[in-house]
Amino acid sequence: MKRALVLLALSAACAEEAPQSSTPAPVVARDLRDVARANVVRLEAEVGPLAEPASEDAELVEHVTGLLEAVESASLGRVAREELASLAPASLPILARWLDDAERPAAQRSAAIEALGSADTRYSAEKLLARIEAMRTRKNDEAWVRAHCAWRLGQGTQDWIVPRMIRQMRYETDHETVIWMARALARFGNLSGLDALYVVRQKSSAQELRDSANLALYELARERGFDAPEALSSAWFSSDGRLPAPTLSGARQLEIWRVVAGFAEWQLRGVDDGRFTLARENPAAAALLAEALSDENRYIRTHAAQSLERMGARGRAAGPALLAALDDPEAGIFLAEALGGVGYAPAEAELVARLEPPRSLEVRTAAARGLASLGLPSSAAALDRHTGESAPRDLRFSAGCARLRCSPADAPLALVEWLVTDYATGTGETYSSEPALRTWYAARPNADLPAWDSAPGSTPGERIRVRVELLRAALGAGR
Amino acid sequence: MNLKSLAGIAVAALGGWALVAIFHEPAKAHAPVAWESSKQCAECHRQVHDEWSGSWHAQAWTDEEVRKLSENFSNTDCIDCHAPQPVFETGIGNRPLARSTRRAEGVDCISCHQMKDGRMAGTLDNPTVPCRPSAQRELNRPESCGGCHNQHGTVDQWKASRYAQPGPGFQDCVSCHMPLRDPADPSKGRVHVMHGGHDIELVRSAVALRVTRAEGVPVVEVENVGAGHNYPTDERSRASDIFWRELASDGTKGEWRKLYRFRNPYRFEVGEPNTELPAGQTITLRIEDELARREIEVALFYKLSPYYADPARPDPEREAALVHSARLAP
Ligand code: HEC
Ligand code: HEC
Ligand code: HEC
Ligand code: HEC
Ligand code: HEC
Repeated sequence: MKRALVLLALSAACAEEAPQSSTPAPVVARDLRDVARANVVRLEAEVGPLAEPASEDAELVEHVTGLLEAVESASLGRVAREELASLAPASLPILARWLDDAERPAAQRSAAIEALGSADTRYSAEKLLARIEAMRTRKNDEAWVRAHCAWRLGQGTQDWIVPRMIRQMRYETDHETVIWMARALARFGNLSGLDALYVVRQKSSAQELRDSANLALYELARERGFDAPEALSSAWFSSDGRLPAPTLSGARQLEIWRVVAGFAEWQLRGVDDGRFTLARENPAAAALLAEALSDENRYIRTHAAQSLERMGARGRAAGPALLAALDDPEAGIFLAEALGGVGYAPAEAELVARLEPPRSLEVRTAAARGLASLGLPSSAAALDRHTGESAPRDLRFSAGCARLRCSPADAPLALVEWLVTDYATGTGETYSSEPALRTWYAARPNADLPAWDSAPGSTPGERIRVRVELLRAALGAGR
Repeated sequence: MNLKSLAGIAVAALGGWALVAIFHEPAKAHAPVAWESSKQCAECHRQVHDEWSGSWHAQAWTDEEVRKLSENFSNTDCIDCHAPQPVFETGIGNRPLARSTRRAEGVDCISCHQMKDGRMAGTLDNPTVPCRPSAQRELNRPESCGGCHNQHGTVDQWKASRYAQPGPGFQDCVSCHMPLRDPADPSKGRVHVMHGGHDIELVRSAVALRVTRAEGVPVVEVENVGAGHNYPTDERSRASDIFWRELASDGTKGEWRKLYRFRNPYRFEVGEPNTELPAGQTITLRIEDELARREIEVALFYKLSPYYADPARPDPEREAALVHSARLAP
């Protein structure tokens, strides 16, 4: 269904003065349509259903059961395993039942995992992945099973597991499973698991796991031609072409579109998971999110933009699409921030233009936020026009933060003072002012950045107090 | 003083742009205003503003608990309801979305009242005043709270309760949480403080505690008599615990022992059941313990955040608020 929607770019008063009547709105036409669900339907047809293999006959059940029960046998074990590794698809449901049956001996369940892993089909991978995901709904789910499944998925070729495995990272509590999931993700070109590996390396209570996370970090780096994991992380976050860019299989695209379509749902759980997942996807996912910006559902457009923003540089390919849709009256403020988030410099002029009336204060403020993330020195002059005391407070704040990030060295001290005062209250938008003030501070001649960065992290309030002291000292020195 | 007479005075305080409102002929529609802050409403709606300022809605952005859990909102997922776009703009009953300005004002006048065309949803139409109120039935319907308050099912719980049945017993969110300022004169409007779990008196009115013995065994009953939804509802951090302790004849009191907890667990607390008490329902528990055959005290506590400092030795008197308690002779 194709539905053309006439979008009224909402406009509002020129707000430097007292509020006044709005001016007539310019009319922009854009084609919005059902993008996400249409892609799900198309890809479902293309990829085909996840068919349960044909019903098994009693003889087969007996055969597979016999093999599984034999794996522990000293004499038959090896042969049984070999045979399990090359079973026909019809046997997979039997193996899956074994995997899910906590009453079975561990060795037999391991053998089932191995056999499902060797099969390496969509069906077998689904069973292994679902076993890992079950911990989100089942109490005391066995961690060793999840770790083994994750390891096995990392040996296969089913790249569509990536989005769901990223989501699982949000919930997984078992460090060994985390390590194997991070490796499996990396196997498919997704390095979002590096963060979790750093955490395990630092925080795990078991030395063995700390070592194992460290080993994984170094192996992943070296396999990709980097000396140290930090260099690999930086290549992943900056998305500067140093890492190979895998193409996404149809099945993986389908998983991504399912997440995008889920943005329309009312329950936030899936939406929060979805933003988390897509923000950590590969650069290739940006093209899909760009397409989603034309969906007729405002939640899909909004959350697609937020996901892109959180992708950072990996989302840059969506820059032109974000720019084209910037005047979306419902999602526009999120697009403006996303343009900054992905670092799409060609958007600068359009964002600068949106700092001005008759755009609404919402749009102007969002444009300033976008410019803050872009951080281009050339924006400074335009921002200066909105950082005076007569500017509406919200615009002054966002433009002020942007001003510090774009050109910190020559930022007016009165503006910095005002932002520090707001930051010191601890109840403002510290997530905006903190990075801006850090940028400004870093540009001071005697900045003590280690002191800034190591400010105690126990409570936000304590951290802010320490940083305000550093800022005040720098301001004093600047006078 | 009613609002119409107030408008004349207050408008004078607002400066030139607003004066237009009264010096034009009365029938003339007021030009749309681009509202930048809910502080602007205070000029003419002082009482509402004062009430709201003391409410948790006004605190939604500055609330210490929220800031801690959201890492000062660097988890931007949390902005959606704590600094939302006007709910009439995103659509009543739809999920709210974050706004870009006046975040510090939290859930403010504009969030609840402003419509797509800039008019303010209210109970009457008056295009001649700056806020251009427009009568909107939807404003006081549970769905208008539900965008933010139904993620954990508060509106659905209400719908399933007897309070939602048409008739004399009907009571909705607004009748309980926004009582009329003057029950005899509805035109005086509704109180905007919107008490909830932070108000222990309201919590006390939600439940009744009854304690008896059956063949010596203490039988504890808790009934949800006053909440139009589960007890406790909404925020998953809320918990309400029943404890009991021995009262020795020499006046010493034994240690508090936990009997039961009413709570909807967090997402990550896998496998924990939701034990909230639905509206109108009663739970009956027995204290099967030899000690409990002596004189005991049974108490119901309410906690804004769920965990005790030392889970093995919870100290409800210090870490929770007492709702009701009862003594039971041997
Ligand atoms: C769907 C809308 C919505 C979103 C999104 C949301 N909240 Fe809330 N939050 C509410 C509502 C409604 C209440 C009040 C419920 C109650 O009092 O029972 C609330 C209350 C709270 C409270 C309790 C405040 C107190 O004083 O006890 C905390 C803490 C909180 N939220 C934290 C968060 C955090 C952290 C996030 C992001 C992860 C978040 N909220 C996202 C709607 C939301
Ligand atoms: C210049 C004074 C003025 C300002 C500023 C103002 N209002 Fe009003 N408002 C009035 C007057 C006067 C009425 C009553 C109209 C009547 O009784 O016919 C009114 C009525 C209303 C009503 C409907 C009342 C009812 O009983 O249904 C709502 C809702 C409302 N205002 C909300 C707001 C909000 C929200 C703001 C700030 C964004 C605001 N107003 C700012 C003067 C003002
Ligand atoms: C959480 C939502 C919410 C917030 C926040 C809120 N209101 Fe209301 N307001 C309502 C509801 C609901 C009604 C009742 C409508 C009815 O009686 O049908 C109402 C009624 C009113 C009325 C009608 C007269 C009265 O006093 O009841 C006015 C005027 C008003 N609000 C102004 C404001 C102003 C000004 C603010 C900010 C200071 C504000 N409201 C904040 C929801 C809200
Ligand atoms: C736009 C979102 C939104 C809407 C609409 C909304 N609320 Fe709230 N409400 C919140 C948030 C967020 C909080 C928690 C604020 C905090 O403590 O941080 C809250 C808190 C509350 C509380 C708890 C106060 C306490 O003691 O902790 C009550 C009661 C309440 N709201 C009632 C209502 C009612 C009744 C309505 C409808 C007339 C309503 N709200 C509409 C977002 C909303
Ligand atoms: C019959 C009166 C009644 C009705 C109807 C009612 N409530 Fe309540 N509400 C209470 C009482 C009593 C409490 C305190 C006990 C509790 O937390 O459950 C409360 C508590 C709350 C809280 C605070 C919970 C917290 O964590 O601080 C929220 C939010 C709330 N109600 C929202 C609503 C909404 C939304 C509706 C409409 C769907 C509604 N209430 C209908 C009586 C009522």
